[in-house]
Amino acid sequence: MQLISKTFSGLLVAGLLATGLPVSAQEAPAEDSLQFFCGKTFDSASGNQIPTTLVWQPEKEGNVALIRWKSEYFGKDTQKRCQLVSAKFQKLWNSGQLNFITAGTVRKQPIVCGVASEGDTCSGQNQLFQLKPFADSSNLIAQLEGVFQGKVSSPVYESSGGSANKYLNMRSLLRNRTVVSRQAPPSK
Amino acid sequence: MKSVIAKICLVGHLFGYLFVTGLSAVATGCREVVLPSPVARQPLTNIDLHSHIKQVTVRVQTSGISGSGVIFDRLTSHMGSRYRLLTNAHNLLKADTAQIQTSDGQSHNAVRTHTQVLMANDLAVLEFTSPNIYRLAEWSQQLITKNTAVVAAGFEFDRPEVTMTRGAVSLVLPQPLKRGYQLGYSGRIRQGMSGGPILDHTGLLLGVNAVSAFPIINRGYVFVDGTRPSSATIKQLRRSNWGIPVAPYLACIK
Repeated sequence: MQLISKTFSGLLVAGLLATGLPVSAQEAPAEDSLQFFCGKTFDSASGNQIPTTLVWQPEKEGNVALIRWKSEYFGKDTQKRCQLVSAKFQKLWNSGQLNFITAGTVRKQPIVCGVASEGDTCSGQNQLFQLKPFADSSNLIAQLEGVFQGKVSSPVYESSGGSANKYLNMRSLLRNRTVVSRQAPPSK
Repeated sequence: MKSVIAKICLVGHLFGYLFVTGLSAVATGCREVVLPSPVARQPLTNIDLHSHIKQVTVRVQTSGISGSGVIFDRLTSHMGSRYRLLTNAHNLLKADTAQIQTSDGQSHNAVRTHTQVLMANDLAVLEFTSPNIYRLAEWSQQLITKNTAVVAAGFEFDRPEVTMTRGAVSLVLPQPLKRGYQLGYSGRIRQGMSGGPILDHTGLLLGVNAVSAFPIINRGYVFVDGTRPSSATIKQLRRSNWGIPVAPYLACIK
C-alpha cells in the first residue's frame, strides 16, 4: 500500500490523535485581521451593482461575499443598511461573538445575530440585522453558515417579495446581461 | 435488489475513503466495477479541454442560491433525453427542484433524485429532460494521486461565463471530512463554483468543488468519524480547496 504517502499517514495519525476540543473561530490568529465592509456585486436579476456585505480575507487575498442587500422592506436606502450591518459584523467579529450565527426575536421582531457559543440566544446587543416578519430564517442561516465555512455557493440574497419563483424568472430573463466586478477592500 | 444497493451505498459513505485509497475495485458494491487497465489517455489540448468543460458544466439555481453542476449521464426515452447532473446538496438546501442553465444558454427545470443514497454527503443529483444533445462528463475510476494537475470549473454568482482555474491535487485524506470532503486541491475557487467539476488533463471527472481554502471559520473541519483535526492539521487543511471525489457515489447512481 505504497499509495498512502508519508503525508497521508501523517494526517491519519493527526486525525487519530484529534481531540474533542470545542471549536473556536479564534484558533487561527490570521483570522483576526478580517475586514468586513459594504461593497458592491453585480446582480443579474436587476442588471445593477447592488450593495453587498463583503469580508476581506487576507490569507485568501480576496473578498468573500456574505449578503447581497436587495430588499427594500426596511427602507429604500439599501446601501445604508449594508453599511450598518457590515459594521455590526465587524464589531461582533472583533469581540469574538461571530462564532455562530443564529436567528431569534427581539421585541417581537425576527432577527439574525452572532453569538460566541452554540445555544447562546439573540439579544439587542448581538443583533446583526432584522428579518421581514414571517421570513423563513432557517435557509438563510444555513446558507450564511455555509459561506462562513468556505462553501462556494453564492452569498445570501436578501430580496424583497420573498417569492422564489419571481426571483428565478427574473434571473432567467436577464441572466445574459452582466459585467465583471472585482473590488479591493477600503484602505485602512 | 435496489434497496440492497442503496444500503451498501449508505454504508459506503462511511468507508468511502477506502474506495479512494486503494480498494475501489472491491468495496464499491454498487455495480461491477472493472478498473480499466491503465490505458494512458492522452491529455487534451487546452482548446479541447476548455470546450469539453464548457459543455459539461451548468449553472444551478434555486431561490436565492446560485451554484454549479456537472452533467454525467443520459437516459434515453421516447420523451427525449433525460440528463443527470451532480451538484452540492448545499446549493439546494431543502429545495427539491432547481433551474439549470446549460452551455447553450437554455434553461431547464430539474428535479432532485437519489436523496436517500446521497444523504450523508454534500452531493445531490438533479434530472432534467431536453431534446438537445449535451455532452457527458466521464469519470475516472483510477486512484487520485497527489500532484495530479487539475482544472476546476463553475459559474461564479456574478459572472455570466464559466470560470476555469488550474491547480493540482494537494492531499487526498485517508479519512474524509464530514459530508464527503476528501480531495484537497489548489486553484482559485470562487463563490458560485460549488458543485462544478474538478477534472484531470484528459478531461476525466475526479470530483466536484465544495469548499474553498481559507474559510472564515474552521467549524467545517470535522472527520467523518466525528473527531476534530488537531490545530496543526487544520492549519494545513485551510490551505487547500476541498472537493468530493465522485467515483464511489456515481457507481451508486443507476
